[in-house]
Amino acid sequence: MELAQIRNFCIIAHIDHGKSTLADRMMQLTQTVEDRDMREQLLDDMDIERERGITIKSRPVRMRYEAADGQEYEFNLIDTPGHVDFTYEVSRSMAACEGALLVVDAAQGIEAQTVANVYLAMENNLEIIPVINKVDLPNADPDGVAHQIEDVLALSTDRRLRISAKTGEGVAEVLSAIVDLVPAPAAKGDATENSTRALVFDSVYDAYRGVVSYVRMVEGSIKERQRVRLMASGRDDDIKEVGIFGPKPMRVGSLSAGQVGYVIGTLKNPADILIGDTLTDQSRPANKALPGFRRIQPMVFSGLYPVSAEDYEKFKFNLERLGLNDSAFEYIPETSLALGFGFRCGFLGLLHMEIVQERLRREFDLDIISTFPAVVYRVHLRGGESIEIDNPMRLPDVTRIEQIEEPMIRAFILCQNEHIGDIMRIVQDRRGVVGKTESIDTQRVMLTCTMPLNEILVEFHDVLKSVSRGYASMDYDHTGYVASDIVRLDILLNHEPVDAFACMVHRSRAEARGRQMCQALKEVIPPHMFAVPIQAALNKSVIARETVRALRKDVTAKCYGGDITRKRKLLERQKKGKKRMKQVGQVSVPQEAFLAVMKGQVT
Amino acid sequence: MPFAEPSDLDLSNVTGLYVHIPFCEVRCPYCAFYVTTRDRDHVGAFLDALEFELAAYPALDLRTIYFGGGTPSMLSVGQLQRLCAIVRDGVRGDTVEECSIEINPGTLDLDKCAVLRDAGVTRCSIGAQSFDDDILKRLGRTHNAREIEQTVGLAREAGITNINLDLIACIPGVTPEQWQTTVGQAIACKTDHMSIYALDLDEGSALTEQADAGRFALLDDDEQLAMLSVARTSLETAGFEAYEISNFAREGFRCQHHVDCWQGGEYIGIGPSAASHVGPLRWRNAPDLKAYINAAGRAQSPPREIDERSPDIVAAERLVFGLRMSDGVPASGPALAGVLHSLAEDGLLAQVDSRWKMTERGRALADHVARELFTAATNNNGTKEVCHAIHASS
Repeated sequence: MELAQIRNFCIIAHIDHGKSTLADRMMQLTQTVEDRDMREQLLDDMDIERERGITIKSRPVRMRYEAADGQEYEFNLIDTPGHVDFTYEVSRSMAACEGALLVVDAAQGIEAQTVANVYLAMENNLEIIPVINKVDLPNADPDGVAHQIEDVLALSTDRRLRISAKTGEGVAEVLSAIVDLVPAPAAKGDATENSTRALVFDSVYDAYRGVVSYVRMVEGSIKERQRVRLMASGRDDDIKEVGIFGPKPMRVGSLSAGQVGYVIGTLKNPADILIGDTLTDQSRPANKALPGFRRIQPMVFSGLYPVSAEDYEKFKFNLERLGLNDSAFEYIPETSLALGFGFRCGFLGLLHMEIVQERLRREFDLDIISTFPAVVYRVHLRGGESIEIDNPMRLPDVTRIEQIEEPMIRAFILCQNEHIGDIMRIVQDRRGVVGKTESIDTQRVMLTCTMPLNEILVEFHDVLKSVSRGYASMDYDHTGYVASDIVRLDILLNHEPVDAFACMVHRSRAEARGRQMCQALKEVIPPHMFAVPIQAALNKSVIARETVRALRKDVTAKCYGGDITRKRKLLERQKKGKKRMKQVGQVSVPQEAFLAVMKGQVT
Repeated sequence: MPFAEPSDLDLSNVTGLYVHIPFCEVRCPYCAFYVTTRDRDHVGAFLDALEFELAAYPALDLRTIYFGGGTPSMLSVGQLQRLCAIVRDGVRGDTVEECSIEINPGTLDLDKCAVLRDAGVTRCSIGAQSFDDDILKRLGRTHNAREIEQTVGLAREAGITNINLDLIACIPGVTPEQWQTTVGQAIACKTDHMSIYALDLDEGSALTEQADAGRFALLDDDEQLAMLSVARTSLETAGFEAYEISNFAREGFRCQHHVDCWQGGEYIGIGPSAASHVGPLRWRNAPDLKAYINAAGRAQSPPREIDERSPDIVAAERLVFGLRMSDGVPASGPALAGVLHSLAEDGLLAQVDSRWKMTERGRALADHVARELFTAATNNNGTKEVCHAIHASS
């Protein structure tokens, strides 16, 4: 296939704006998938993806498209993750493309995620083709949405792609627009004669075949039995299989410049394949790797612990399994005085954390407790040394600390005009600064804010949804570190600090948070045989306090010869319920406590 | 299956018979016992089935009989006669020392009293609950305070002079003064036995449902303890002894039937939902009047749930029930000694005259004590616990 006949593109959209449905329809129109094999959202194959309407892993598919003039084209659609947590993966998938379809719901208009993804596509120099979807909805307003796209995103809607992916209306026009507007791949920039470079934009682990790398050939070609080098990791490998996605893997033996497909070598450890790495020929390596590679850095950390200690081995085994298919997920063993043996886990962001926890619970049937999530702080010590802290318990003694820096984000929040006051308030309450407000249309505005990442870790999304009655949407990107007055808040139960409840907060927020955590714990810790003081402390000085009163009365009034068995079993059940709690010193702490401390923030 | 028929059992230690009469005029909102407020046409069939169930046992050599419910006093004169005849014919009556019946105020008359007295009833337990008509109404009771006094009078007139009054304590909205008055009025009836039950949320009662829906809440623990303490002080001053957590008696008037239960005595229960205790076994008839009647109609035992207890559980039960009594349990004997000592360290038990007895705090936390003992007993040897449901059809 000539380079001129190849079109590589992705689809970007806000959740539920119809990305997967459009992909399905395109596959049907190009007869990539027989109608009888069609099932909804073919590309999202994890349950969790279907349920939440999000894409977590990339899913490329090759389509053959015959244009009206009889010319045949090879389309490579790379379905990308749609969430900010996966920005780096998205950016690598985008780097494998020349164009992007921007799908916007004709009734909803553009959303925060639309904005964040468009900016990312622009950074990757993609040709962006706006597609207004769901025009068959009774409340569709394609003209209004077209204005939004032109005004807010500065994209031309001259092509007037107004479609219903559901009914198929207008999808044929999208296909011809791809031919017309998406540039054909070009051999890029600084390539030397005959050099071979392929971009690894994702990888999956297959228990039988090892690591499957998804690649975009940029220059040269890759064949089976070729010896290749991964330029960032420095590893060499022998290629066993080369194929394309049709959408099921189809072995084709080789890939040439411009094409998208997969390669399988002999490497068995997914950690050896880095997303964004450059694959080159081992005997004649390229001078320079493709631009844009970086090692993925988790942004959010949390301790995960099995509820019952007996589950530890099962938990560890399943973390390993999960790690095989999620190279962004990091975990190292950790011990907590309160929770026993577990793992410190690193995530790309909040959604990623939620997804991992949900998969552990659901796919592996594990009961887990997670500790208060934390971002990575940069701690500058007296004497010049600097360390990164992802666990509050590792914070050095305050006397050794010169300064702490915390990570910041740029957040895009889209909301109805009437909610702007409330939203500004919740942003400011969380130490945020609203930098810019722009009108999207007559009803909506977009706020661009600077906020500490720490402040959106728990509950911010819920609060945002509740003050906006569900209308606001938010997305963000990372903007680096700034110095901040960060302190560790300790929670003490019965005068003993509980490591699992410790968290890092800004000094100005410490007292409110301490009070809120103590109150939340008071609600969920059951009465004991003794009074249980709950205290929040900064550097050993108590700033908030509650007490769970001692159990005073626990007695069955009527206790005769009838149904003693049931009574006894009830008592045994109650006792077992208590056993499922975590013992922290003398205090039994129910699982809900670990959730409760994260909830109930002042809004 | 531990047993198929009563004839397979060693009944030589059985001293009590409990007869459950599952009929009531109305269901009280706090009640979770098995009763039916319809089905009154089935009293005859129920009595037939009762006769059938009792006939499966050899003539029992009993010390106590207890007619409970439900509202046994609701039965007509004829039905009461039949009930008494069934029991009289099914047991060896000459050894019976105590025969109790539960009575609701307003359901008794002189004729019924005569039947009961002639049948050998020696004791009646009257569900007074309160002496305040407004509170009685709120409790869903169909009688008033005057009817309590009349019922006491009727029983005495018939010669049944061993009388208990039940009172409900800790009713939200009842002030300590009102409660004190009610206790005083009960004492003024000059009965020899009193049961004071703190209002509780038993699984299956209407009140529990309301509480789950957030429409009702019990008094807080301290308020409850204060109310119970008021009653205890008044009763002790009036000459009653608190011989069990909820039970008070003048000397010589403890309820022998219940004392036997608490001391590990064996008994047979007949009627739907009635429980029995023989050797290592406890079993309970299904709480289902229709199934009870139908089984008897097919000449089969009623559906039962059977619990075969390990020796450790048997021992723990002895301690749990024994400790509810003021007499406590003997401090000798190795059973669960470790747990008893640790409960004593927590201030819940104390050794008095070589017996373990509950402290005041222990009485307030008796379920905690029970949980600790049962858990220790269960963990002792991974107890063999068998629960079988024998269906009438099997």
